[in-house]
Parts: sequence; C-alpha cells; structure tokens
Amino acid sequence: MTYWIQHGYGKADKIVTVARSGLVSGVILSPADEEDSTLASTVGSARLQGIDVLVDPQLYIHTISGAVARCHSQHGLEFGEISWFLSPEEIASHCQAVVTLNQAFGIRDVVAPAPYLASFGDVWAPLSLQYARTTIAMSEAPVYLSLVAEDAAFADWDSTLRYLDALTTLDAAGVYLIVGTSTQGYPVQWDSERLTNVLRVIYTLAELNHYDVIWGYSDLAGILGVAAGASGAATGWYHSLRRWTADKWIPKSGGRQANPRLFVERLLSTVEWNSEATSIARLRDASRVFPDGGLRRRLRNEEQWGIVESWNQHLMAMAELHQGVDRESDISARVEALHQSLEDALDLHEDIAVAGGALSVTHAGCLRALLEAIGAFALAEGL
Amino acid sequence: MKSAFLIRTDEPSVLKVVREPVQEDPLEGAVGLPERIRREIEGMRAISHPGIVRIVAGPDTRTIGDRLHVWYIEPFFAGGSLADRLDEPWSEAECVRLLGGLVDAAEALARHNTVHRDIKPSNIVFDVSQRPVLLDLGIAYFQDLTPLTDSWGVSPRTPMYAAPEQFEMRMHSSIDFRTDLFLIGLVVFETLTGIHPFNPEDPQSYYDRLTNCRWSDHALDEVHASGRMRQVLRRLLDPSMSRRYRRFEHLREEIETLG
Repeated sequence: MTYWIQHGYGKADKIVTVARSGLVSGVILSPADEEDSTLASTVGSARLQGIDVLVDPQLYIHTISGAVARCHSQHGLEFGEISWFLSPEEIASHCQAVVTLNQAFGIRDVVAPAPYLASFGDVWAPLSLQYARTTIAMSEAPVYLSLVAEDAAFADWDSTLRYLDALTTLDAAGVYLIVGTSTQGYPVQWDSERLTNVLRVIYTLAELNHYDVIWGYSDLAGILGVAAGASGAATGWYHSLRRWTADKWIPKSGGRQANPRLFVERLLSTVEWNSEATSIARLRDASRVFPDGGLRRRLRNEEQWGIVESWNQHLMAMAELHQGVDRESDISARVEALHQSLEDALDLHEDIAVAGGALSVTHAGCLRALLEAIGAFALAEGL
Repeated sequence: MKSAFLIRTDEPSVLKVVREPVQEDPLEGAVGLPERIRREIEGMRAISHPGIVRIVAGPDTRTIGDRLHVWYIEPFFAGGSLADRLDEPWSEAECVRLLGGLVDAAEALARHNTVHRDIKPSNIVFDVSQRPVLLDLGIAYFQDLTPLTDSWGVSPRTPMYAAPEQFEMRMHSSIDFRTDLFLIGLVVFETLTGIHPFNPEDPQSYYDRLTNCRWSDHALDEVHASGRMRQVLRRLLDPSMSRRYRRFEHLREEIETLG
C-alpha cells in the first residue's frame, strides 16, 4: 500500500474512519501544529488501526522568515532560530531531540530534520545533508532523510543532480520528500517541467538507489510520484495538507470557510459541489461523469454536502486511486495506466465544456501539467 | 615516477624502483618519499584481495649510484594486460566475467575507503585463473586521508579513462567508489565493442559526449549486446554519480542476471 495520511492537528477520528478501509499505509504527524497530549493519542489510535506512524519534525519551519511552530517546544523540539552556520553540537542536539521524541512514541522509523531549500545551491543545502548524516549516526532506528525544497529548486536539473550525488552517499532507509509550491488556489497548478524533475528525483532515489521515498503533502501529484517509484504519498483533509507552501506557518488573520468539494474520479478533479458538480449532474451525459445514480440524484436535487463529508470523500477517493496504481506490476505499467487516465479525464473535461457544463478550466489546466510531466518523465527515463 | 624491472627468482616478479631519491633519517627511516607514492605503497600493503595487486617484498631502500631509492616487488602477471587483448571484441559472456572481477576489486578497494581512479586497460592484468587484477594505485584516492589536490584543483586522471567528476574542480565534486564504477563501464564497453564509448579521437566535443551520456548504441548493435548488458552499461556510464549504483550488491544482482 502506498497511501499515507498527512495529519495536521486535531482528533484522530478522521484517520480512524479512513484507516478502516484497509487502504492506508500510515499517517505522518505534525508536532509543530499538534498539542502534546493529542499527538500521543493520535499515535495510539493509529497503532490500534495497525497503520504506520512517521513524525515529520518540521524543523524547516524555523528556516522560513516569520513562520511560527506553535507546539514544537511541547514535544522537546527546541530548535530555536536556525542559521546556516550552526555548530555540530547544535545540529546534534536538534537531531537528538527528534530521535528522543520518536523513541518516546516507539516509532519504528525516524524522519530526520532538515531546513527548507529554495534551491539546491543555497547555503542550507549542505546543512540539510549534515542533519541527515547526524541523525543517521545517532539513531538506532532506520532513518528517513528529509528533502524539503521549493519546486523552483527542481528547475535546475544539474544542481538537483549534484545534490543527489551527495545525498545518495548516505546510508538511510528512505527519503521523506516535500516539494513546496508558491502558486495560489486549489488545486495546485504545477509547472510541468519542475514536476517532471521531481518525478525523476523520485525515480533516481527509489528505483535506482533503492530508498523508500514518501512524498508528503502531494495529493493527486503524489499518485504520479508513486507511479515513478515512490513507496508512499500523503494527502490530508484540508487544502493546507494537500499542498506545501512556505507561508503556511506564517500567522495571518481572516480566511473563509472552504466550499464543500467532491473528488470526481473520472475527471481526476476535486470540483465544487454547489456549482460545478450540480451543473455537470444536469447534463444529458452526466452518467459518464457520475456513474453512481444515487449521487447524480443528490446533485440534481441540490442536497447538502457537508464539509466533513467532503473531506472524508476526498481521502477515500485518493485511497482508491492509490490502490489502482498499486495494482500495476511495474513503473512502466503504472506510468502508462496513469497517462491513459489523465488523457481520458482531459477528454471528459473537454466534452463537458462543449456540453455547457459549468466546470472551471483550471482543473483541466492542472491535469494538463500532470499529463505533460508524466509523459516527459517517461521519455527522459526511457520507459 | 617509478621504473619497473622484470626479475626472475622462484617465480617471475616485478621490481619497482621509485625514481625520486630519499634521505635516510636515523629516527624516521627513509624520508622524502613523494606522498602519493607513500600512499600507493601503504594502500597495496593494506588491501589484501586477489583482484588488487599486492607487494610481495619491500618496501625497502637501496643505494643506487650515490643516491638512496625506495624499492618494492610486485607479482608478475603472465596473463598480460587487457590492453594487449583488445585486438578483437570479446564475447558478452567473457565481458560479464571481466565485469564481475573488476566489480569485486572495486568493492575491495571501497571497503578500505579507497577509489582507484585510474582503471584502464593497461592497468588491468590477468592472473593464472584469468581473474582481472588492478595494478597501479598511483593516483588512488584514499578517502580517510587529506586530499592531495586542493579544492580548486581537478582530480588526477587519465583523460581517456576518467569519469565526468574527475574533470571538475574538487570543491564542486566528490569522488567515491561510483567513480570507479564509471571507469569499469568504460573498460567493459570498449572490451565488448572494440571501441571507446565516447570517441576520444575527437577531443573537441569529447567532454560534451562524456557528460551528456552520448555514446553510440550502434557499436552495441554491431556486437548484438543483450538488453540487460546495455542497461547495466547505461547505469555505469551515467554522468551523474547518483544514477549509477549506490551499493555493490545492487550491481551484483544485475550482473547475475547477465550470467
């Protein structure tokens, strides 16, 4: 199984609901966001469901200007202000705190802390490797290195490879990957060239170097990551857990209640329930999009669709997509199947537009970037 | 630099004499031996593996003329060198055996944190069982010791048999066992096809071909190289170290499938 839940904060009941499907590999927890007692109970709940637990130490928050890690100190993660010229003792104390937290929860694999990289040539890059190396030296448990970088970093393939040349000297069990995006709105509009290189990084680490790669905050793009060789990809309830942005941890006021959305498998898109989904359900060929007659009736009758229902549906739909990709025998087969699904979805988007359905063109734009990326990835890797 | 002499005792051996003279120090013995040669000798003494040349006698000093020189003795390999055997392409099965032997030797070096850096046909000889043996640790990189090249310098190398990272300033690149894997890829490609993969006769664009993985599939077609052999060569000859093999066991698994 390749499906992971990205958990921010709050009760574990939503994890339990999805984990009962038997399609969840594990959950990634966020100590910067989660209170001490809740984190402990979430670990307990995950264990009861028989799923794995990873703790993302989230040290990167301390390398983002203006960002706040509200709960870190409650977990003994006293990272303070991180600078690029930290002493070996300071690095060691941060790594030790992470190892200790994992030990306290009896967690099998330790995720190493790492700073956030705007590029692979910046001053934080050597420090991120130093954190990885130190954690490996300290931990008796297997270690996942953290690679936390802005998508712009992947635009420069040469510097990406240089970083990988160094990273692949480290004897770790796996790599926990986070790729930040700066584009606003939902869903994420990937730059297809950068995403291609992200997929090539996953392939290089997983297929060529035999690391377990788990891609956090990746949502739908994570499925492409799994096709490229990742052993896991994570998504969460809220939009802020389905994408990673550096400003997520910068305190701000305001914000509005999210619109309830519905993930439509045949469109590979999470559309708005009240406008887009209801409009499509009224089209003559609506069954091509919504084969479930019950759902079509609900939409036509403009029945209520709660936000919690929306969150759970998204997570279950993602779990099923993962299951579909997992079934394919190898990377080539996964890539081919996904390529076909994306093409089919885009055809359907076009048909809906022609039929006059109220479906934002943003969705198709996002899918096109994914399609281009998976195609370019397959070509570059000779699949 | 060293001079080599074939000597015949119980079994033929090679006497090597370091040309740079040394001085005798009452406390420290011979001093003034160039550091690279000192490391080479230490390396040969420390690594005991049938795929790596060893020292059978010495090192010691002897006055030649009016100067003191360091000497040592290596075995003589009657099987000759790979350079002597490249008149015709080898069969794929023979190349697989060569590949396996070279990988064994590179792994033995890696276990001692040593990178040969100069694996080429003239530095590969064959013992009586036709196992390849690596000669000449003269420009080997001993990872536990302070580098002899400063950070602005480039790695020592034989240009026709060097990995891309050996052409870069040391501050921008690192050398590890994966450098030797690239060199093994070069040698095996040449042995299999009879030609060097990156056409060094055209030096203008040689580096470009080397660093952009541009080598001729045509040469492999001509010798009907198997798909798996091509796959292994493509990995070994990847310009990026992270896309070669991270562990010898991964490479060995693939070599077994070439079997």
